[in-house]
This record gives sequence, C-alpha cells and structure tokens, in this order.
Amino acid sequence: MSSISTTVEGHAHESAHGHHDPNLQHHFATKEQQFDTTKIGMWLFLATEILMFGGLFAGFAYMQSRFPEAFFEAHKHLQVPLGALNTIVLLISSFTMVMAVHKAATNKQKQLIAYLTITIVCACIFLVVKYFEYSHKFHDGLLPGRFFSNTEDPTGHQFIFFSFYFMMTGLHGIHILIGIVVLLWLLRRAIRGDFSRSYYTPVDLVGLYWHLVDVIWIYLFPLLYLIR
Amino acid sequence: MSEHTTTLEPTETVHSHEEVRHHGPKNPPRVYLLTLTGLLILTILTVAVAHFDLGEFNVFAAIGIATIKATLVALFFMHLLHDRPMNAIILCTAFILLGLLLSFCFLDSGTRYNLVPASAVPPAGVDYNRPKNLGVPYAGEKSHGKPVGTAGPMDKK
Repeated sequence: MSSISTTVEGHAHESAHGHHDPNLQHHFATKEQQFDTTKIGMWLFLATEILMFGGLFAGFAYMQSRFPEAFFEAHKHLQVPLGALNTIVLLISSFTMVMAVHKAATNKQKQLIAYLTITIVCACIFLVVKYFEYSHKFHDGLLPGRFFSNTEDPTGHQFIFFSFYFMMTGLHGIHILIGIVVLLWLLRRAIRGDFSRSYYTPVDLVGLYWHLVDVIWIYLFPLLYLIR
Repeated sequence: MSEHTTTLEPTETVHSHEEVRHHGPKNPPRVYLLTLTGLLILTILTVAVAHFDLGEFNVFAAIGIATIKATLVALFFMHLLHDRPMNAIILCTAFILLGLLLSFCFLDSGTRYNLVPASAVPPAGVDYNRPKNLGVPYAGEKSHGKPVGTAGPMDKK
C-alpha cells in the first residue's frame, strides 16, 4: 500500500520522478485538488437537475393553485401506502449508498460491494412498485392530457394532475433507471478492485447523484400523494 | 520530498477536534444510521399530518417536513456539513433561482384566471373558459347546459 501514500507539497515532485499515479490526471497538483474539482463539477450538474425538476414543480404549483378541487379529487386515485413504501425504500437505499462511500473511503472492498448491491436491489424494488402503480393508472384510464379516459371525473380537469403525475414520476423513474445502470458500472469496477481509500471519486459522485434523486422523491411524495 | 503526509490514512472515525477533512471518510456510520432514523420518523410524521385537515397549513406542513428531510440528506448523506463551502453555495444558488421562478409564476397566476390555450379542445361537457374562483359554477358540471367551447363571461374584455 506504500504506492498510494502521497504528499500535498511533494506530489508534482513525485510524478517528476516517474512515480505517476494512474488515477491522478497530470493537470492536477494533488489528488485532493482533483477530487475537489471533480466534485464541484458534479454539484454544478446537480444544480441543473434541480432546475429541470424545478420547472415541473413550478408548473405543478401553478396548476394546483388554479384547479385545487380537480387536483384533490385526482390525488385520491394514488395509493398512499405504495408511495410511502417507495419513500422508505429510497431512504434506505440512500443510507446504503452513503455507507458504500464510507466503505470505499476506508478500504473495505467486500462491504463496498455488499452495500452497492443492496442499493441496486432497493432501486429495483422502487421500480417494481412504480410498475404496479402505473399499470393501475393505465387500467383505470387515469392518463395524461388527451389520453385521459376515466369517466368518473366530476371536475373535468383531472387530466392536468395526471399530466404532471406522469411527467414528474416518469422523469424521476428515468433517473432511477440511469442510477441503476451507473451503480452496476460501479459494482463491476468495485469487484475489479478499482477503488481504494486513495481513489473512490466515482463512488462519491454517484452517491451525490443518488441522494439528489432521493431528495426529489422526498418532495414528490407529499406533493402528489398527500395534498389536500 | 516533504515528509508531511496527507490525511489519506485509513481512519474509522472523524477526529473530534476541529480538523476539516475533505477527502476520506467524513462521518462515522453511527451518524448515517441516526440520519436514516430521523428521515424515517419524518416520513411517518408527514403521512400522519396528512390525515388532519389543517386548512391552508397542510401544504406548508408537507413542504416544511420535506425541506427538513432534504436538509438532513444534504448535510449528512451528501456531506455538505463537512465539505468545502463552494458545493453548498452551488446548491443554494440553484434553490434561489428556483425560488425566483416560483415567485414569478405566482405573480402571474395571481393576476389572471384563464390558463388554457384557446386551441385546446376540452372534453365533453367541460368549459375551460369558466373561472371557478369568481362564483361561477365549477367547470365540468354538465348541469350548466352551456355549449362546449364557447367563451365564458369573463372573456369580454
């Protein structure tokens, strides 16, 4: 493990002597600088994600304030227990993800792999529950916009609620799906032994992404399922 | 070469003194477990609160609890509490811009009533042009007997 002990001042020095770390790009002075720079890039991406979902939240709030009765009637079609179950599943997956980051930072290979696997399983459970919810909506004709074919709509505007419901949970679901793909990639690299306490940036960044997806659901759940 | 080594040693817990660690483990697992417990309790709370009719306060309670949960996730799971402030600044900037978007949306929605474009074809029995907040019967009530798609009384500007 001696090859990964670096020095703050002396790293450029070290690489000049030919001991170049393959995980350190040559335009960074130290690994810490590289880690911080990469992380700022990730946070900038997360800021754009917040604004993308923010547009949908703004639209939802706008229409909810115009058609409160329609939104209230429409939200009764959602099953709160399933939404709560998915919230708990995602919160637990966020916990296992942060534990995976911790295990990577402390060089615990096997536990890193275990926590990544649990996170992927939780993500899959979320999507399975979502599948059952969606098929229930499809069956009842509770669909967005002009596809809305449910005949028991006393308000005439429930289609607006379901436009937002499918757009917001759909975009969130796509994020979960992308998260699963990236987590599988992390798992493969973890099994290959790519990560150690001196290099675990990908685990950390995927963790940030995963927590953001969790935060978005934290807002979606009460707004869609619990509004009165 | 300097003999001073960085904080890349394998340490199980964060040191209790004021040492800022940007790389390496940031919190002991106990902190993460406590955060998760807090998040689960708040989830139960937000479902419980929704059973009571608090009037206008309902939406504030829901958003308030969600914001506490999001803050917990950001501070502990996303490590903002122990991270460089620049990352928190980026996050706050995104939320400030979102606040700007929301406030201008509500400025707009507070000063107009007809939100549906004229080209929209309403379902049978629905009149988009009837403002429900001016004492006119609620849109969608078929008893109104008004032909579909005609302009409402408020369109005469």
